[in-house]
Amino acid sequence: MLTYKKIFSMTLILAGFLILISEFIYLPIDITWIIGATFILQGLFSVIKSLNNDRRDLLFLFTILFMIGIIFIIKSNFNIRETREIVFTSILLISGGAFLMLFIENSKERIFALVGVIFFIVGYLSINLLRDYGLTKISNSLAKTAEDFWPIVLISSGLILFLNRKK
Amino acid sequence: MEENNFPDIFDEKYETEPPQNRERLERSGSDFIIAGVCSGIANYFKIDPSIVRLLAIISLILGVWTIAFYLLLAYLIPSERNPKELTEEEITKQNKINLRTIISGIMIFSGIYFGFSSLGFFSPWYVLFLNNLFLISLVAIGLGIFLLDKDRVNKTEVKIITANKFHRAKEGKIFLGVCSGFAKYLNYSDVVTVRTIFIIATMLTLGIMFMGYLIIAAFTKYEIE
Repeated sequence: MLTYKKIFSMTLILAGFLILISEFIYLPIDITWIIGATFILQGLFSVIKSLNNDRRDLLFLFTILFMIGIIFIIKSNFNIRETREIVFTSILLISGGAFLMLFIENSKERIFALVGVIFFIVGYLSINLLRDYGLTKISNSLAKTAEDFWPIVLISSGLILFLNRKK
Repeated sequence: MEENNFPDIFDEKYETEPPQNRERLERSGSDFIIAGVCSGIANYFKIDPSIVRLLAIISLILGVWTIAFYLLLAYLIPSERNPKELTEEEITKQNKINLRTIISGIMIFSGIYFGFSSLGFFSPWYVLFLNNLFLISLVAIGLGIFLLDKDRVNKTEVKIITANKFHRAKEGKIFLGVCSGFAKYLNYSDVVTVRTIFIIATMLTLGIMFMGYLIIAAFTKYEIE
């Protein structure tokens, strides 16, 4: 039986071999592409398994992983160097995809379809229309400012979560 | 001839009892995430396993060497002789604590990593010093084979009965009960993690995620007690 752990182990081995091959034989792929492909494989098989298994938590998680894999592949193929610029759009598209997947799993919950479509539309708009209105600039400047405080936010929220782990 | 007074070691009164409860470094068989190495070390030194796990995750800043060292320890340290049998409730509680430890470890690790990068002490690849892709590939293959081998033992598949309808939760709500309801709908016991991830996503999307929260709250009802 194909378990989640087995899927993870097999994709890990595949990723290891891909890195090894790309090191010794010339392959037109970089590490970002390999990570993306690994995430896609892991996400795809786990999503299929979760749909058969009624594991909604894992379905949501692995849909996000699958979408992150796609973002990695896009980043690698289009040589996007400034990752900061795609974070905003990526999170919206990833969340949209995850909510749509929840709707596919249980089509009675139309609210997830609505939220998913809204996130997709806002994500799409953030690429095209909103850039003209300067939203991307605002988000980039905010991200630049936040970058200085981001480590403190992460470390302190991590510590709070750790100290409250038994509650 | 003089009689010597050496004691007869085969005499019953000289038999010593085998040492009981002698401390031995063992991989934990009841509390583990990958191989039970961290938990085993914690049990040996009588400290909280979460602290060892957190330190192990943070030490990933040293790069893939940490994983290689972990695999080596998993190979060298024997597994526990008499693993504790846990009840279902204990397992759920343990899983919750372990998940929170992992997530907080990842957050602290990311904070340290981004902090080093933004302060300009190291370039991102230099922080993970002495790493090369060859070593990473070997560790990935090794870890994959290790997990594949370990998975042969544990083959029980958990089938969970999930709620059919999404409701906002009244119990444990902070604002409108969407995060709690969502955690319940996903059959996921830890609401705090859902909230933390939601807050981070809201910050990164300039509040658009909160708009989604409000839409869900507007179109869904509270659960019936």
